[in-house]
Amino acid sequence: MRNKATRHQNRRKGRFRCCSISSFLTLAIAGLSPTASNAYTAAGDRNFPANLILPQIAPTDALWVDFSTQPMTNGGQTLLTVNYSKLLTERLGIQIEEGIAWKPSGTRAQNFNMLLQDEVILDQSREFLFSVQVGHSFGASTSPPSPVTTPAVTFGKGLGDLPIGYWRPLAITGYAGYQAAEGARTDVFQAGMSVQYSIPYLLSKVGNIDLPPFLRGVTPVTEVLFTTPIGHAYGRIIDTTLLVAPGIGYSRGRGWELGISALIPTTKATGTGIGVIAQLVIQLDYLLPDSVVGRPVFRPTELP
Amino acid sequence: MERWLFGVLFAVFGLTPWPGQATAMPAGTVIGVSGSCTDHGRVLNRGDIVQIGDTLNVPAGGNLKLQMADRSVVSLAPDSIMTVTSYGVGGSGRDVRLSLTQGVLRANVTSVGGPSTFEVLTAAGTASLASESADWFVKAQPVAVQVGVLAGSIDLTSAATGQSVSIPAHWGTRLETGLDPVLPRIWAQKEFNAVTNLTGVEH
Repeated sequence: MRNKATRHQNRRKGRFRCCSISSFLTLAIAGLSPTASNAYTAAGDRNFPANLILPQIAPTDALWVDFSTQPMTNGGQTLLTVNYSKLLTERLGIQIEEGIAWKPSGTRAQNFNMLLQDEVILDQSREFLFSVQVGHSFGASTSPPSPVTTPAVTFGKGLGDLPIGYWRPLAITGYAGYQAAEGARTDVFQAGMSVQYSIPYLLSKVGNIDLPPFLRGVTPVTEVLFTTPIGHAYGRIIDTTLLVAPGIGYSRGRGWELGISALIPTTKATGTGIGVIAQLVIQLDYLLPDSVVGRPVFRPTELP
Repeated sequence: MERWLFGVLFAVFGLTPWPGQATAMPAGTVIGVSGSCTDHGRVLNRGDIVQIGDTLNVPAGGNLKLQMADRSVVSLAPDSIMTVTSYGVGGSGRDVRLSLTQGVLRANVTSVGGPSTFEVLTAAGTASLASESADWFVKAQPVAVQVGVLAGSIDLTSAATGQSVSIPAHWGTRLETGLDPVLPRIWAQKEFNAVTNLTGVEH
């Protein structure tokens, strides 16, 4: 399944040069890029806020909506994307994604994406988790359809277990995937990471600091997403993209989370101006904990 | 005559419960016990009455299970010390405060009519019932408290900062002394099973 990041990239490129390989690649990337997939994920006392351009680092029961706009060579591109993530077991989940894209060339549906993700390592005491995933973008919104499949890995690591004082609220997340295209299209390697400093973690694990109420739920985050073509170019010019997204996440642990980031393209293929992305995450497992949408489909045995 | 009058007055006022007095009021009954659990040094047996103000001590390897006056069930794990600070139940509702000095407590709290307060106090903060009923755990450690919720909803408030979080069913969190509560997260079933095993009583 694609990620948000992929979508963004694809969209942008598509606008630029609809007929160019770059555009094609961009679209493909967009389809694969991690979408703002992030729902709330935790490892021990570390809560990783939702990413906005990288994929979520672990499966959850959540619904989230992204809205983004970005200047492109051929005009602006605005995207509205809806994601639904469902846990099948405590560690294994699926995710579906669909949305609408507004471009100078018209309004159309985004590619439909699906993702299967398994959290294979969860080390609570070290605030570390590692997941593997495989996503598929059906590519139906392009003509001809351009489906792509992306195996990828994600991780999250909090630094709270290290003796580094006020640096303990720092955490990093990472993503790497290989987008295998079908037909005469170029494969793409994608990688990204985020660096974040959690104020909630600071106040709950490090020190009692008097801060205004709003700041108590803020986590400054900077995400970076990189894509580059690999293999046969089929005679097309394919560009590398690098997108930087500094922003903040906000959560007070009440079942929802808000994020907003700037979208700063660093190459022409990534975009022509600074854009913005906003995201609202609804944690179904928090708000509807006893319902079918809030709990894994298959659960371990509960003791009486 | 003077001595007789003094004796009568002493008897009347001595037996009259003072407002706020929290002793010699039944709060619950022991329905399960293993090991030498004590109440102010008195070894507890099944069927014994636990009073308001009693401090219950569960030794290593022991367990204690109480049926409370409102039909709630409170279970204590090995190495736990709990005081029944108050346990008021009546037509006007419920007002309960338990102090957990150390160890693990499981409270399966029933629904009652009227306003309801059910709190577990620890050094780091207070866990309080936020739904009509709940099944939850509190683990008091030297510098922190952990709360896990199997059913219902629980609020955890820091004694130092006054900040609180609400913990829904299947979630849990931790509060370290002097700090805000950690944002809640989903607890894995094995985490619940671990505390369930700790508070289980072998009859």
